[in-house]
Amino acid sequence: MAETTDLTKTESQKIQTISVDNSSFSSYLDTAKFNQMYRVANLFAASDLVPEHYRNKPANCFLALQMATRLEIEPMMFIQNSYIVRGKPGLQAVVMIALVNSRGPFTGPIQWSFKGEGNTRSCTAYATHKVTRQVCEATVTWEMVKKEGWHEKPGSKWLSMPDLMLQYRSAAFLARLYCPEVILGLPTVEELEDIEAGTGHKPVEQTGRIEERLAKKPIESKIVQPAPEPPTAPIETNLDAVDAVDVPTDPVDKPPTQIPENERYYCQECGETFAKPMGLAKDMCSKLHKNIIDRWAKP
Amino acid sequence: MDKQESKTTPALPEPGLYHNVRMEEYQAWPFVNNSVLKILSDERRCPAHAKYYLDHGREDTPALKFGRAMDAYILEPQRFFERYAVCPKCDRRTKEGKQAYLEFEAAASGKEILQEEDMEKIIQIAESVSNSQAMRLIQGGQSQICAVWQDKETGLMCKARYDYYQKDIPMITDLKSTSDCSPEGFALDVFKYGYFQQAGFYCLGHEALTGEEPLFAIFAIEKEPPFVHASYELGARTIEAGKNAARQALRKYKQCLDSGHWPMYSDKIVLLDMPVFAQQKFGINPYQV
Repeated sequence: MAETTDLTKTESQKIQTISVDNSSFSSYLDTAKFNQMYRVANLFAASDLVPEHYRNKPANCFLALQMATRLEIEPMMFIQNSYIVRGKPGLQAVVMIALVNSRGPFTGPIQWSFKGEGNTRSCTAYATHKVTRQVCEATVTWEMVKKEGWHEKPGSKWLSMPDLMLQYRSAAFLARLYCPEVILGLPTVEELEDIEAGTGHKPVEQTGRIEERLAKKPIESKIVQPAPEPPTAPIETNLDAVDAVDVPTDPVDKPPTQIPENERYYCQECGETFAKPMGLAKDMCSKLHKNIIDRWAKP
Repeated sequence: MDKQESKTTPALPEPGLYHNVRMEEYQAWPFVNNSVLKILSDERRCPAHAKYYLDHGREDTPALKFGRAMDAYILEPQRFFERYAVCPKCDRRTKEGKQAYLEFEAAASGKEILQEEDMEKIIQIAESVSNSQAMRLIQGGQSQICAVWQDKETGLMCKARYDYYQKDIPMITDLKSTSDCSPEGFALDVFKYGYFQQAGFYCLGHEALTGEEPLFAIFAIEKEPPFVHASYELGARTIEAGKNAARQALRKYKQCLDSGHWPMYSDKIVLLDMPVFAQQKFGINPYQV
């Protein structure tokens, strides 16, 4: 909300009245603040000290500055400890815990307790509420980790340091449940990455349908020996021969080609009659009896 | 259309599925095919390339010839020697060899000439696949089915030629010769050579004609010994991606056709830098302002 404030007195004792927007959205709505923040964003974007996702990206830096202002933390600290995963900003878990410990609604810092081992391992983050004096808690179990598929990402920290990850995740749940305003509802970077690896973006297994539908079909060798026509024979087919709209139910069989008597060969193994293809050195019958080449003979 | 014209200009087919169409005949149909759409989808080519393809056709490469001959031998063996003549080994650097080749060419009377070593490879491939489970993909249906349909969105007439079609499933099968038919290697080929778009385009057409959503299978065969093979069913996501790619390419085709303009990459002068990795290799920080 915009308000009017007596801001400065000049040397000539003339009072200047400047309109200043002190609302949460002032960096967007107040021209002077916007310009200043834009200049700072450009400066950050040009620096080598910012991570790559902010380098040469003044718009990203501007939004990061805005979020740092809302969180009331040092902009450089925010920029160094925030990441962008598929367009979503996330805070490192340690920053989130620091924010909750220093500004949260609890009487002291977040504490943790562990139970079980292996698949039954669980971690509860807890803290006592300043006003209600109730113990607030959030639990993450290994069962949950497995079901969500968080540990499936290649090089996942869930496998190398599971207890620390359980602490981070349970603290994030606690913060989001009891004091989302302290962290502006932002997720942790680790959560964003796990969503990528887990069910959020993981390709769903598809089931093949062809194998099922073909399962009952027997296999039969289909490739038969080509039956050549004399080289001079014209190729027949013109548009008139094209079948109409629907595919005929039965395959269109071509009448067998007449093989001249003196060019006829046969396979002694299966008795098939055929002509020797032009220029083809190795002959086979339709059953591919290539290994009986010596037993071929003219009838 | 007057009588004289009807004599010289063959009638174009109506939307439908056709069997028994010669390849030359199919190629003459002036409809949009997957090859031109593939050029329009390729980021490394531009509409001007597509126009050149439409005007001049595609350059025939040894790999394409081999693939075509392999398809013909496996799918339509009875008709193989109607289309192909196998050239015996002859040294064309010698006078006798040249003469023998010329005589052979004359005897082949316009058939496509296949080298003997390729023919031997194809026979070995056929032998290798003959009793495999994958043969189920090319049994109980028909080979070389041509589809003609009108794309609803653009109104363009389109055509496709299925290597094999099984109506009862319904399933379209395409044979591919490849250097690597492992699942990992061939999955890359599906993207790299635009097989996914071919599948999407064929499925779009088939759905438009029959109202049925077909399955799309690929029978991949390695063209070097030991001639191993694999059969794949393209997943629903890949088919959907292929449909999206085909739709996008059809829109681009329509735009070029309507405007009569088949642009090159850009009419403007474009600022060009080497890729980031190359700049970094030679000491440049591409992120520095």
